Amino acid sequence: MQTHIQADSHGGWLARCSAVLAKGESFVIGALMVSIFGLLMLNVISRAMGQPVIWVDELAVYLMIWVALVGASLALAKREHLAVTLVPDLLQPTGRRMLSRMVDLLLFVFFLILSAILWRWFDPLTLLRAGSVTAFTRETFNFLYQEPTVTLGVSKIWFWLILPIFCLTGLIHTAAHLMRAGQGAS
Amino acid sequence: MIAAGSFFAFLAAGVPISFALILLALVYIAVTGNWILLQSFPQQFFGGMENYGLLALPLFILLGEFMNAGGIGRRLMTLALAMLGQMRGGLAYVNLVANMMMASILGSTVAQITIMSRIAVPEMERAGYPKDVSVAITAAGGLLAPIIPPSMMFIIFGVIAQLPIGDLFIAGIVPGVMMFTGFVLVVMYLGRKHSFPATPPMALRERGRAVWNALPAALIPIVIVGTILGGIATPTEAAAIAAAAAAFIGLFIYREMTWRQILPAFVSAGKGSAVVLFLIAAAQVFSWVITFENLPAMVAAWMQSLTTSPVVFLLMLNVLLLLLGMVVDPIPAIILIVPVFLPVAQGVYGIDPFQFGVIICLNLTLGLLTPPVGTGLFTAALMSGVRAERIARLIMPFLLSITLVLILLAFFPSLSIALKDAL
Repeated sequence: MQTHIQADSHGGWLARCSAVLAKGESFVIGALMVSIFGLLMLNVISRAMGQPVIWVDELAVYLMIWVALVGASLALAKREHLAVTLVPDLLQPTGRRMLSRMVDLLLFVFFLILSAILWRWFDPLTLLRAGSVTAFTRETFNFLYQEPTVTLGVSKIWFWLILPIFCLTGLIHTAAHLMRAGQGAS
Repeated sequence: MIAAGSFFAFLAAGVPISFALILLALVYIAVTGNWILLQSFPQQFFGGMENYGLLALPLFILLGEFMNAGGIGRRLMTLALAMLGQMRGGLAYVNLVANMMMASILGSTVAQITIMSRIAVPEMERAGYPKDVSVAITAAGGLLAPIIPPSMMFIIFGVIAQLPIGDLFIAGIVPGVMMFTGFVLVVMYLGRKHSFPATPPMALRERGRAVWNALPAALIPIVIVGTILGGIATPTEAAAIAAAAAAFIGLFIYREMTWRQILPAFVSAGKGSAVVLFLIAAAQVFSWVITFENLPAMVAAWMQSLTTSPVVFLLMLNVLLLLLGMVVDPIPAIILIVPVFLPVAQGVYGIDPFQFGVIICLNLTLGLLTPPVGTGLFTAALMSGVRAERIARLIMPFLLSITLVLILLAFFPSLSIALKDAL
């Protein structure tokens, strides 16, 4: 009984967290889309005036990738990703629920694996120990923190940061699905 | 083998297709013990979306959102009515012509069926057309969206096949017109079978007003096609300009859109494109893995043992695509098929990539209207209240006419290539 209540409140907390996060993600997507639109219009107008701004296209593409990953996380929360539903549709409700729970679990495990991959890629502990980006690169031959953008004049790492953010929000949304499903079962 | 098996198991279980593709890559790495690949995994994934052409996608979706809110669709329908005049089954042709105009603005079947079901079906019903037949014509008309430029599917095919999207748009024009002609013939047949009513007469004055009202709306397709063909704007910028124009027309000329609708349109366009963009990133990881597996070479060897004729290859591909399209949505289907079959088509059979792309896109749209997984079919059913099974039966003649177009496209490459080369 005790564990039941604990599970309930835990699922509730996560579910609320996922819902708040989803709202925030919606807002970020809107802001990014407005920026992309603005950048492209700037490009059209500045070129028509004979003074093209060269960095616009690259920035717009990176912002689009942010839209894609923030939106992909949101679509997880709302279960809006494209899937083949042929088999689930053939099943009885109980079977369908079980299958859907397995899919949720698989996605949660995927995000755990992705965390591990990203942790190794960004290697933050070695970076801290090395003290500087140059020292880190010399030590690991991992040029991740020094990769430049073509026209923006900043390091690409700032745009790559969306990957760990996506991983974290994905973990929260999939965990919330699992918790909600657990509640339904009990 | 294990990797492929797990992939199909994931798909069947209902794992989102994008995640199934990424998981396939991970399973492949695990099975082959190539752990070093994991180091470049995040970069491959991010890099899969670093493509300027892809930017056209969110902007065309945004354009659709503005069109939907701004009342542009209804004006185009009235314009078609004014242009066609009084004839038997007039509204059915009006439906097709309006769909053709809408297709030159929108790139997605589902978006188009959603808008047109709301505009055209009630109008036809009021004029005395059987409702189910009206819905079937509207659903079929939606299939023009992915073929008449701008087309979402061509954008995605262009990104994966690394072909200029503007040229692909032009390649789609002749097949799109052929498809439209086929539909007109089917409507003629249906009109005789169901004895469609004639359009009520329209006074010259009224006709003039309809044309005048629709002028701003009709400008949008002209802006898109004109700026791309004239080399003034890239397809991406053309979409942005058209979206700005649609918002302006909706806000200030037709006054059907309010400022409050602007931000939600951006959010909804962002959400819609995110799912597709994410799928494309996943596809990048998928094609990266299949190059290690050398799947295209295996398929090539197998296909060569079956036939050496490009036409037979294309016909076989069509059958495969039809089956695939029945269970998978067109966009993921393109993503699965192109990296494997395009190298085979080009390398082994010498097929022009534009011809290949047009056939693939046209064929896969059929799947939108075929059960068991037809997004367009279910959208039409949902919007109209007519049973999906009934619509599926009624659209058969339309689907047959597309099949005929597909066969012609397989036999005559110039249908897809000539216009692009001429311009």
